[in-house]
Amino acid sequence: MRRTESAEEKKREFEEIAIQYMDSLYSAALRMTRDGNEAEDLVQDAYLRAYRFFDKFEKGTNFKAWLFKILKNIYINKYRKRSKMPQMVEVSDVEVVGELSDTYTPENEIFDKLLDDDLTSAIEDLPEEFRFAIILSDVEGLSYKEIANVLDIPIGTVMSRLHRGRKLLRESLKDYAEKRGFAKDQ
Amino acid sequence: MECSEVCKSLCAYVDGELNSDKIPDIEKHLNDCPVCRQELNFQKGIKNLLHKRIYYKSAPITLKQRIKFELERAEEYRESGIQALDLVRWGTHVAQLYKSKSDLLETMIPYVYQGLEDNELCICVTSDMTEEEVTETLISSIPDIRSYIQKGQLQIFSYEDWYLIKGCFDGQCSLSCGLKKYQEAINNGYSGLRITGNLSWLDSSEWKSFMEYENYMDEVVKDQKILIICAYKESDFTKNNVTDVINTHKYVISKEDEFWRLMKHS
Repeated sequence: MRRTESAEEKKREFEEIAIQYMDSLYSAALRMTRDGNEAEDLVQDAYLRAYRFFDKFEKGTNFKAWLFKILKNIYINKYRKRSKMPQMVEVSDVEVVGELSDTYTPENEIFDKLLDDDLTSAIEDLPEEFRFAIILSDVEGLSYKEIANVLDIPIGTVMSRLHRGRKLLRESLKDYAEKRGFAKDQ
Repeated sequence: MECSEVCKSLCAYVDGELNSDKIPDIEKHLNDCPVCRQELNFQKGIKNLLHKRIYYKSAPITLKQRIKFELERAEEYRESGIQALDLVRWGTHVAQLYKSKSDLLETMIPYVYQGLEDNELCICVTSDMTEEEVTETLISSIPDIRSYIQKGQLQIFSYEDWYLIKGCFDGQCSLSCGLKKYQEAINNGYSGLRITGNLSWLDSSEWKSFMEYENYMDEVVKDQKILIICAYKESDFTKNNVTDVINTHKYVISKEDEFWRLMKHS
């Protein structure tokens, strides 16, 4: 990538492109760390590192996905509370196939009644690998290819994590719905 | 098409990521199979719910200001070489709590290597390991390290030659020793000074004066192109000692469950 401009121009160009994603990065950081101060530090670290490697950003690719990849790497190396994290579960395609059953009921209208805080909590309760995949796909709208690149996993695993993550989310939302008295069986 | 095969592809179908040649078969199956249709509705429902109802939390205005401010002085940030520390600003004074020599080396080697790569004058002050042990370890771990030693970019001292020049600890003396090296770094065209000092020689008689020195160091280095890691062996001291160490350093790294963790206090 060509970059012959001065440091000042580089900074201006970086800020023009990068600052617009701060709310997006902060929201994801908050959902990953579950701590406001850590989320702020994580976002700051991500911006500083992105600026440092701005020359390496491949023009024409998704800048937001690039920022998320940096954020994810710093989160794993510096902020993840490993001892408190559940075991990483790799979901194989076989498991996903086995989940198909006729027990699904249309609960979407029940979930619609849930509070925003319940939805946020349900996402934050997801095991980390599913949480990140769901945020990148369903909140940030990244493509499978971009998610695979951010998370350093094959596209098949992106699919498995989304499928499994949505299923776990559904179970969790059902619990919240029951607590609020919205569940059909109450 | 079997339900199991459809189920496998539904996620991609919902997300618009399915190969177009598979779509007619999937849609035909969905038309005929109520179970798969329910699964489809569920997946769509969750996706729409998140899309509609999960909002961005606005980054605090203070964070935006802070990031702009830090970007202004981005060139003051250095690669620490240690994942748990990541980028650190010049003037950072870190305490490391370690349990074993292998833990110590696990951070010391990349920290020193990064400093050498980034044209910094690197100083290792040893005490838990001898100068020879540290030199041998660095030689076997860092490519071409002998040339850095020969040209004086990497200097290894024993604690006696750094902290106990007068036979006992003298904070003023150690401080001027450090500042002299800093001047040497600048005069010789290095980007700055990177120090790692091992404190396992410290005993209770010198503890109080050393903590006063640590406190003072924090102030002295904050505006200089200096990075310092003070390595304390956990088994060498009591809980009170740990509190002192935490209170005299803004950043503390320690190992938990096989991973280095950063503690930061304001």
